[in-house]
Amino acid sequence: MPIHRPFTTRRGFLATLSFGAISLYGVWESLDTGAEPAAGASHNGAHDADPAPTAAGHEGHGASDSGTSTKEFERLAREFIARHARADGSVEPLGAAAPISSDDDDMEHGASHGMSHEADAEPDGGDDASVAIDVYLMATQWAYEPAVLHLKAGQPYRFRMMALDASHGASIQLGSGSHVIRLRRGVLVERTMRLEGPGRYLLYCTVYCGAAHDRMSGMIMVS
Amino acid sequence: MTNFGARLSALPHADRVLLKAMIAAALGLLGLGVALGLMTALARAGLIAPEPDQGYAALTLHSTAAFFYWLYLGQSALLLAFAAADHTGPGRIALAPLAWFGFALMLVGFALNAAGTLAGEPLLYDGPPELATESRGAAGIFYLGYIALALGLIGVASAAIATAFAPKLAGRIGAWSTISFGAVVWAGLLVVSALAALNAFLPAAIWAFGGGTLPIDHSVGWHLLFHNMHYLPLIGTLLTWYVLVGELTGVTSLFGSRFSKLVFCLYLVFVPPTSLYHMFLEPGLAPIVRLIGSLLSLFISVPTVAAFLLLIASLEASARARGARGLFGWIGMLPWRDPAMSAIGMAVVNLAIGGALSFVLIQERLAPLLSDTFFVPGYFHFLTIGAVSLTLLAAFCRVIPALNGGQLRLASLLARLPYALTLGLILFGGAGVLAGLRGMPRRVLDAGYDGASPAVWASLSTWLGVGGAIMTLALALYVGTLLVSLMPGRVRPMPTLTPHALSTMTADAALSKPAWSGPLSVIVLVGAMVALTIVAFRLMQSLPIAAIGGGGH
Ligand code: HEM
Ligand SMILES: [Cu+2]
Repeated sequence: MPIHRPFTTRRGFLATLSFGAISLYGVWESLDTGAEPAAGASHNGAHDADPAPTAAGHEGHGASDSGTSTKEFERLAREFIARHARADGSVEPLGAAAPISSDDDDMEHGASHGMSHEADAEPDGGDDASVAIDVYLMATQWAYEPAVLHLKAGQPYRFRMMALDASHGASIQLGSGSHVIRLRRGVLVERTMRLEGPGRYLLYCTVYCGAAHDRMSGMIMVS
Repeated sequence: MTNFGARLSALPHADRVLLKAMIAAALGLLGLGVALGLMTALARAGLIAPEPDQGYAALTLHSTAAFFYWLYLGQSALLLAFAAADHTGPGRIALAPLAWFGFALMLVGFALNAAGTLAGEPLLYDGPPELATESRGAAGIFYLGYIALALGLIGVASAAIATAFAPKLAGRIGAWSTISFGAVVWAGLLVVSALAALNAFLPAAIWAFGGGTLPIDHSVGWHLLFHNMHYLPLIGTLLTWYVLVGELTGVTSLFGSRFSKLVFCLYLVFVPPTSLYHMFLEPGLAPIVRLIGSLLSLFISVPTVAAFLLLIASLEASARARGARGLFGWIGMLPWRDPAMSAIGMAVVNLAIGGALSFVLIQERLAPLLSDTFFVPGYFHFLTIGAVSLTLLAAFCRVIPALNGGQLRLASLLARLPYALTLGLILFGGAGVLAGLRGMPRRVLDAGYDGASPAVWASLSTWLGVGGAIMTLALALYVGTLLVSLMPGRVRPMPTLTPHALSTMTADAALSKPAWSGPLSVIVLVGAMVALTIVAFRLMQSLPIAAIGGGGH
């Protein structure tokens, strides 16, 4: 004598419902497609609500394992610092735009950093990554070098970062949230990024790296 | 079901001693872990300022004591209890000497973890070898602790599996009950996580004692372990709910044991491969791996939601058949004054909160906003304390009096603790999640950066401290009360059991009533996940930073 069961107490219904949270994937997809076409498209308003791609979506090339050793990286970074150091010890990278489609580490040498191109270049001049300026960042226990960077708002920079002794983070506090970057020891991480607004942004380590981990910080001044 | 508590009381004396010893040790480690957790939270709140070495040693031992040893010892005890007392007939723990040996090894493991931490640089609980180059010997001792834990766990899990097989081999039963079946799956997953621990820490130990080179992929091994660690207790949690609901209300699944068994099996399918999402931020991970990782992680919800729905639908339908009215009237018919009931009730709430938050984190595109921030400890305390620990404590509220043939001390206090704990968690976890969204890092003692950090980090950290203190108080009362109840000679005779409020219906009669609470909960849960994800996306997109496509790869 079968008794009628409402659908809410049937196995099939419960089993189907168990997959409910998978529907979140649809949301991810829709957020994805919202951002994707904008890649490389209009970017002029720094704070517009437009779902412009943030750093998150496009880091497929996050690690460029071009085999740069820690020694080699340190050498390049020190050269960079020496070249762009200001009197107070902070660093303001100018010019020497590196076409980032090139992976060639050695192009640094050739570039005689004619600062003239950069000096009054239109800051929002476009998304063309090829005008990105190289920035080197070394992370060690427990400091960044350079510790203070002066950057221009709207200017694309190619950050080339490496943790030299242990794993570190190189996260940037941007006001209402942060952009978190993880660096594994000896792995060159490249990100081409643009800071959209002027401000003083805390650079801090987000990977536990020993006793003074919570002292490990730097500052990015954007004007 | 015929009373699980009664069958526990009927176990041989030696078996009961083993279970009591395990529970006592587990509770002791929870107490220690919680005290150290409070210390970390107070440091965050700026109320104490430990030296870095002490502070990080406290954080290391907080996580090892609470996350590894309390959870593994607690699960071990419960697993053995389920396996031994499930079937009618003279139950006993098979291979008891192996279980004792495993238990002892786990205790040795903790001693080694503690000694290694105090003797060298505190490494935090994942113990990256690259931080231990100056203190290799101490790190080696620390790693040996995990190895002992893993071996001990394999011993206990093997004894549990043997215990479940014994009545089958003796021909006393044909098929396993849902509980024995679930226990075997659970034991199997414990062995998997033990193997993951060996995989992560053997190479590190070998290096520390002078053999081999620095293991460069330690973090990968660790992520595999950590992943299994924090999803695996879910199966134990769901199985415990299943047993306790049967004990408390007389209701077991109305959908047949085959369906329940299938649900438990899904954990085996989904837990191990979903490890990927812990690696989203690793430089060099291929985009396709990230995508697959995110997708797979979603599937972890399937068995959990399924088991939840089974239970809720069974409960609601049974209650309706006995006259429950309105959409939620059935909830009022549950025995809320029983400490085990209020604990699993709140565990459901905390699992939902923690689950919704964790599903924001598994979206790989949000990793640059949230990974390595306080969002992570913010959400996972909902799962580790609010869902898993509270469920273990609920079970011990039943198991301890049964083992001791006595009564729970201060039962009415215990029945209220879950609400206090949940309140504390909402403050701690809520503040932590908000601070994480705003970039506050995890794993620092002081997030002040000499005044350069946002003021909101500091104010949210104060709430962390307040919530942490409430959680600590609630858990300390649990530990104290349960330990006292465990002591011999302090017990009064066991009272008559709570009458089974909802039983005696046939499945068909009960299932003729509609049961909407389950579907509604799922809708609310998914809605919350969607909303949280969108909020986090919006926040991330509003940040004044843009990544630019391009680059050689
Ligand atoms: C009830 C009191 C508790 C308090 C106040 C507390 C507080 C904390 C705090 C402040 C942290 C530091 C987070 C960070 O800076 O990264 C932390 C980390 C952690 N807690 Fe708890 N906790 C408590 C209980 C527990 C329990 C019961 C468990 C596990 C069952 C647990 C597992 C962990 C783990 C695994 C970490 C991560 C440590 C790390 O990432 O290195 N906690 N806890
Ligand atoms: Cu660091």
